[in-house]
Amino acid sequence: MSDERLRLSYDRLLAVRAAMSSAREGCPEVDAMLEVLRREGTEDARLQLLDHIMACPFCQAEFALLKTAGTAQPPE
Amino acid sequence: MTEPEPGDLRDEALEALVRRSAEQVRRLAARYGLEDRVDEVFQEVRIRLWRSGAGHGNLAEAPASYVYRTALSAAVDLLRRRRARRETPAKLERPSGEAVFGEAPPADASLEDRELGDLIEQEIDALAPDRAMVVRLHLAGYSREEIADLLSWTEPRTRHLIYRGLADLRERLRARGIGPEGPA
Repeated sequence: MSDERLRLSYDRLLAVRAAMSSAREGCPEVDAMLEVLRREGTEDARLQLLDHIMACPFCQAEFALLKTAGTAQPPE
Repeated sequence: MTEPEPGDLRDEALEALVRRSAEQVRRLAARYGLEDRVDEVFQEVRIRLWRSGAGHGNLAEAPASYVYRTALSAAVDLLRRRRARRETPAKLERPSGEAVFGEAPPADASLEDRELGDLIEQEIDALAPDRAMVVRLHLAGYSREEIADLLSWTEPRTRHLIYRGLADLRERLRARGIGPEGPA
């Protein structure tokens, strides 16, 4: 199965999941996401958080926003 | 105190810097359908700069790094406020551009499609943890370099895990009767 097909199917799964529930149960705090971005804490702790983030449609979007806002540099 | 209007900063060079930063972040955020959120963030950046007196030549530090740090801080505060109000995005695109949060799956999204998504997730969960992690990041649209950077792994290790992770996933899906074009 192509990457594109895998990605599309996975995206649809997360979209359905988001439409079904917005309870945000078990979601890490925004500060915990920042720690992941800054590579703070143990590797195990970061991986555990990323595991949730990447399987949660809401956390994934928030994490992406933090990442883009935090890594973009204005051109010289 | 009334809030400033966009472009109300007295220093035109500073306003130009804010606009360029916003455009750069927006280009990156477009991959995740987050352009609207970026606009919100940079409106907040303008407000903070205005309140700090930045538009009146009162910045003690280089303006570029100040805008950059302010953008991240504004994004953090935006997300905290939304969570506190229990707001969820009304509409948010997925990286593939095909599925949108807040909307029911398209009418042509068959039960088979939805079951395929469940199956893919089950098989990702069954992978070795490090391979599962990189596969999820890969499917979320992160590049190999971004994945390596995020996980503090070397590029060769990351490349190997993505390759093996996807290969394992495809093999497991084939064993479940899911071929290259989807369910048999």
